[in-house]
Amino acid sequence: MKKALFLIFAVIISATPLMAQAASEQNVLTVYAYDSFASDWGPAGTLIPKFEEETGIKVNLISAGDGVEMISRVELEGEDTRADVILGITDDFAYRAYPYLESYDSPILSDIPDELKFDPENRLIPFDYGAFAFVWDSECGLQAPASLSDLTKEEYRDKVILIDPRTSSVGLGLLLWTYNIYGDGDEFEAWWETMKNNALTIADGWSSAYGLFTEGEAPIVLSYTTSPIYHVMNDNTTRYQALVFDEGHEATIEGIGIVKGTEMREEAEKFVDFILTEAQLDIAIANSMYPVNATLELPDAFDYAPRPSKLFRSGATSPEKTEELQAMWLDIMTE
Amino acid sequence: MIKKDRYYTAKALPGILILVLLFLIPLAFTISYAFRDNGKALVEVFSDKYTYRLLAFTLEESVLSALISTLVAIPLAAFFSKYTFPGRKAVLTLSGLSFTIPSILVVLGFVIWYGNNGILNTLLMRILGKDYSILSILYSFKAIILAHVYLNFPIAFLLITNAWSVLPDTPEKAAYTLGKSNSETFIKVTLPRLLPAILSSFILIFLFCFSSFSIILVLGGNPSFSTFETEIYRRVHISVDREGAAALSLFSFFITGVILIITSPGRKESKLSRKQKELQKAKGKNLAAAILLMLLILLFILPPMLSIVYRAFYTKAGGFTLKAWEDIAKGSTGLMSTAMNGIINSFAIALAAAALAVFFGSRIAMAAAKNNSKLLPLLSSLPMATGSVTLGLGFSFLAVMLNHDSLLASYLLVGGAHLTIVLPFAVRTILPGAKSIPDSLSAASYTLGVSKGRTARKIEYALLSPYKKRAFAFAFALSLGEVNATLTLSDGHVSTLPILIYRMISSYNYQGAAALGTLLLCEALIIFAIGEGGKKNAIS
Repeated sequence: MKKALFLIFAVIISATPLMAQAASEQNVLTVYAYDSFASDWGPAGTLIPKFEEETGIKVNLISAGDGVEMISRVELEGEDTRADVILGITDDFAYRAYPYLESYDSPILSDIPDELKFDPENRLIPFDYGAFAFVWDSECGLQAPASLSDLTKEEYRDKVILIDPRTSSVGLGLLLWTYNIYGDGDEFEAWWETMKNNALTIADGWSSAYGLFTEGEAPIVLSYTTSPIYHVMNDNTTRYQALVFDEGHEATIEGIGIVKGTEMREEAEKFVDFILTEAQLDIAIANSMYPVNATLELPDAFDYAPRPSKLFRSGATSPEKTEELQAMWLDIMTE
Repeated sequence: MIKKDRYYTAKALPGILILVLLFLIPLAFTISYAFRDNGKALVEVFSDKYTYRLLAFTLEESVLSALISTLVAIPLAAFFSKYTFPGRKAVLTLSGLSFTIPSILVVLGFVIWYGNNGILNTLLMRILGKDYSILSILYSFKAIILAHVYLNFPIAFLLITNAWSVLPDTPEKAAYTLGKSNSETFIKVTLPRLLPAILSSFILIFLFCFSSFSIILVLGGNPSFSTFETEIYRRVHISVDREGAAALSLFSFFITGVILIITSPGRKESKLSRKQKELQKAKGKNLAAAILLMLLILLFILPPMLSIVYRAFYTKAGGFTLKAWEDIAKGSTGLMSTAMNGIINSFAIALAAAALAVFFGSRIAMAAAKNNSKLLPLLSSLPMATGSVTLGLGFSFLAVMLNHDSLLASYLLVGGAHLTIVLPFAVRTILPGAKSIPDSLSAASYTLGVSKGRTARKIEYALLSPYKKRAFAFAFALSLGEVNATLTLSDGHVSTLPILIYRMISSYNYQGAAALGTLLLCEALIIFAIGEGGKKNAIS
């Protein structure tokens, strides 16, 4: 019995490439997206059927890991890639995706504020964005910090949960944020030097950091300005608030692009336009991000996601500089 | 009798073939990146001081974790392999559970229980009437070791208890008759015979901790506590530096490889006739000791897991709520069907992967034992020695190579990947058993004119059965908690419970994640209970 099972298994494994060929001949639009978009629980669960119904175009949505893994995959596949559209490349990694994308001057572009358009050639078009911020438990009995420098005060010792820039894009966001505020100089080093003590822990990723925060391990956590939305919509509480600093916030912008050499250019354009219009709200709510389309009216819960007046784009810092900052960070934190 | 035994090698071949197809080929692709530009990245890795700092810490935490886990396990195993008492099986069953939980929930369970604001501290504060946290356990080096021992001590406990329970105690009795003391008997007579099992569990734990990084970063609280895996992760996911990641993987691979080779024990020459040891019934003092030990083990193992179950029903403020369950049950986007799907997927994949792992694993272990091969166990241990990030990279190469587009292929690939991930466990778990089968027994069978195949089936594999059972439980648990390979190889089309847990968390729903975690634990518990309650060893 077991042997028979194995044989079946082996035969099917070896037949996989054949099946793949047969399947790919169908006329469908293939979209690579990161997992939190593509899963049934993500916005795709309702959006894709809607798009298919409205346009009659079939979509094959492929979850290709996180944004970085998605780029890796497109790089590895090169010209053989099945992707017609990729969705969810952040502005800081955009430079790696550009060689594989073609420009699309969508009519919707005029509804998107200029400061969000990070690619002048429109190979990647922004569809949502978020700003990193510290989220604060307003019932913790401490004063709310009003700037990054405030966080280094003695009263916040062991009260802040940070995230490692080596393993998390949110952690990397803070690293770039401090660089944008303090620049090349001693202040940058001094800030991190002090935060070594004030940080309760430096988590590996946003998930564990935010989990520690909601468990009450520390009253301040690195997250997004939009984080309070969840607590308002689901827990009906305004206890957790995002702190907006006048000095500005690091922003991350997510883009969508059409893959070079696609045979479904027209369908791909329709999909991009759909994401930039009808899909905006669903995506914004599901991702806890702001929509880019300025013509939209946001639900009330977004009142609790304060928009910073000043934003630094993560993509504005060069990859070389980022690498250098990471090395510096490691030296400061581990010496 | 050190002669290559073709029969057993042939039987091990299908298992080896799967390893080669699903693991070695993608790995070779990954590693080949290390040699681009004349191995520039490799040279950098070897000449960078940071590499050696990482190495020092990685070795320190993994050796220490493995050592403590094993040392704690030995005395407990001594007791559990000598006596039988009510609850013995239940404790053995429960201790395998920690394996199923994805690391994010382990962290959460630890924080809910041991945290500065956790249940343990809250209780102590109430009892002692203080208003600050009494125990500061987390965010230090000791928290790392505690979590590693928590996760891995069951491996040592179960493997050593397993081996010890089937070890005949005639040599010990002889030693006592000769007037040897208890400790002398243990060191000179028992320990050498237990060594394969002890080493096997030590190496498994070592490898697990060698590639650990989430737990180290979160619970260690300090970036100077970081392992190779952290840096490999950075290079893959943050810098997109495949060459650098491959070079560092190769380096860490080299280290684990050397350690695996050094520690793979040769076959013991003297074999003892196999006689099942009768477990004594614990009475009086022994029974009291048994109860105490069981309590200690349960007090260590259960609270972090129960904390997850607790969080599925109670909010942080302490209010009872079924919201998380309602979220799963209704939801706006068909969560219920997805959750059901996840439950079934997890179960089916884990069942298939574990069954196949035991099937192939026992054949590989037998071939290795019969041929006294060091290469086979090494080969089959490689997926574990690779570390999850490199493994993930390898699988993404595989996904690119196959570039398939069918759901069936997704399931098969995921199943195959799970198999390669759990196979090392199965082989390592079964190997001590395979090595302890005396040649004389098989020889006697041949003399009686029984064929090789029949001897293998009726005698040798039957003797392996307790080891196979244990291997199945581990493999099942391990597959149940797997995330990365599943995501990579199925293009997100196969949702398992741990994947749903991560998705829940990424949309802020920690309580929903705890509820799914509870379901995951239940699933494992049911299978374990069925396994433990099954028939006793076929040969007695």
